[in-house]
Amino acid sequence: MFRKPNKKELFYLILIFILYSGALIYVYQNHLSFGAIYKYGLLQEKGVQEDQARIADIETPLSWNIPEVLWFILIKGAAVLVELFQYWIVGMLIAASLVVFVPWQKIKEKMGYGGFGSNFLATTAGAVIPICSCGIVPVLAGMVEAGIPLGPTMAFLIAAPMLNVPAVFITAGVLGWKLALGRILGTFFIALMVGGVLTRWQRKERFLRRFVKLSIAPNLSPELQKFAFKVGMVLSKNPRKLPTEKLAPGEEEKLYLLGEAGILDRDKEDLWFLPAVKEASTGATAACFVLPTGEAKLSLGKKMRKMVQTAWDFFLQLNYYLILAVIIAGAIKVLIPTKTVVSLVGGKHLNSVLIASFIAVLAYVCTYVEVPTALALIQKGMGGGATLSYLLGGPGLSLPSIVMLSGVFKAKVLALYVGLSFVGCVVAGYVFNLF
Amino acid sequence: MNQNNNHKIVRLFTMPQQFPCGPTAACCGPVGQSEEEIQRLKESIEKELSVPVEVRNVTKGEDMRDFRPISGLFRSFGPMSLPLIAVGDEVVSMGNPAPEEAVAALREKLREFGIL
Repeated sequence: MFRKPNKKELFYLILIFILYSGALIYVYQNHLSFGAIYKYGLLQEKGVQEDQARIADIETPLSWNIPEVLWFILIKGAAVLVELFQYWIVGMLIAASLVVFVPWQKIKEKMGYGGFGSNFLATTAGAVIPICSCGIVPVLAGMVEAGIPLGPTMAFLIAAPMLNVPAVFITAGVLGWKLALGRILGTFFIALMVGGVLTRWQRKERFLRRFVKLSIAPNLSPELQKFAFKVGMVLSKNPRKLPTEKLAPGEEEKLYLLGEAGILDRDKEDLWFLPAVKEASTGATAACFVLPTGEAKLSLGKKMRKMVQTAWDFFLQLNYYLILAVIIAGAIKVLIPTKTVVSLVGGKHLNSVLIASFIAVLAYVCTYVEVPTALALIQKGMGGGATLSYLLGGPGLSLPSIVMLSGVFKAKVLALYVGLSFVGCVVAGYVFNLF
Repeated sequence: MNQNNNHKIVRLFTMPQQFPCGPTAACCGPVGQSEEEIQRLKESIEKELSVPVEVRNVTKGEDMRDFRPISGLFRSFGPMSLPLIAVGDEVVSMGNPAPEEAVAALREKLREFGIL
């Protein structure tokens, strides 16, 4: 059913297995709560109730005993992995279903490069779906490969963890309607801002491989696939770069379409070439979906099987980033104690908003966990604006999710996402303080 | 591609048939070509065009050492691009053709080269 992983992929797969089972063994041996590790990624004593259940973690004191600190980082990272893994798998399946079931060209025709309407819709869709920032990454990869433009994709990425119906009600119930409203407006502001910039970029540059690293080719129509083969054959000769007039005279738009699908690219001298494709998706037994014969020919059963196969390939390609992300999450949990956070974010000054945004970006805060932690911070003196920044940035941005996204996007997209989200959190927090 | 190779040689770049999702699964298999398929295609070309046909396995490094553009195409397009049919350093066909389609495409290319 599944393709064989290559040596690297196998290594990461084994590492994930060791971390996952290691965390469960640790919980069992120390009589900790299995519910807490699965629900919140926390190593927690049994019997912790209510809001504390979402934040209480075993003490991991900082000391110069480096092996002990490293062990804590590893085991807390592994705990995050246990929580994350279930969403990760669901995310992979959603991603694969997008690739398999969504006809690339139809999406392209309907959505183009996105725009305010598409970005707004994507933000609203994201706000309805409760997925945390790490779980959203594979979904995002699937959206990109399915042909959904980058603007709406990114707007969705931002909105899904930052905002969802249950989270808004929890915020309103625990922290008040003013902050809940601020959260809604802040999310739309950030998502539409980032989505808008990306829409402009993609309209200008068009070629997918300039934005995206992953290499699972989309569902092309048989006609476009035939055209792709034709130009591929021509480009395999010397010279391997050609202008439109020599490659496919009068068919420049089709060439651009292949560029948007990630199959072709164009250099500064307007010469077309085949971009380098990662080894991962082209192994001998791999990626039979690299260029399928066209979605129309497959029955539902075949599509379902192909979906599982595609999910497996996504899984193998992204595991490295998952491991890196959970280790970073573990390190943050151990190295930045809550006490330090609390002492930095009090008051209503821009300074506290900035610090809250910065901490929110660094910390790994899964959706729904941000409200009780924010409440704890408010009780210690955190101001309204800083709280809003934390509510937006905590679940929306985190160092682990940024690391995972680096497996999907190229640096400039990542910088735009992180930069504008950070600025958005600060602006939202500052504006909130004015009211 | 190595220019020392005889440019008249027709080459079939294939991959042994595999069933990555199991022999009964239809989701992503079979990938590659069976012995019979390769033989049928090879024989059709040899019979119709009277040219020698060489079969190369894209999964074997030593088979592909002199054929970097072909390797590049395989990497770009994946197993669905096989069999790749080339004359000398020119790719004539990608994907699975009917034998008569492959013969027609090859005939045209060989005429262009002045071989037929």
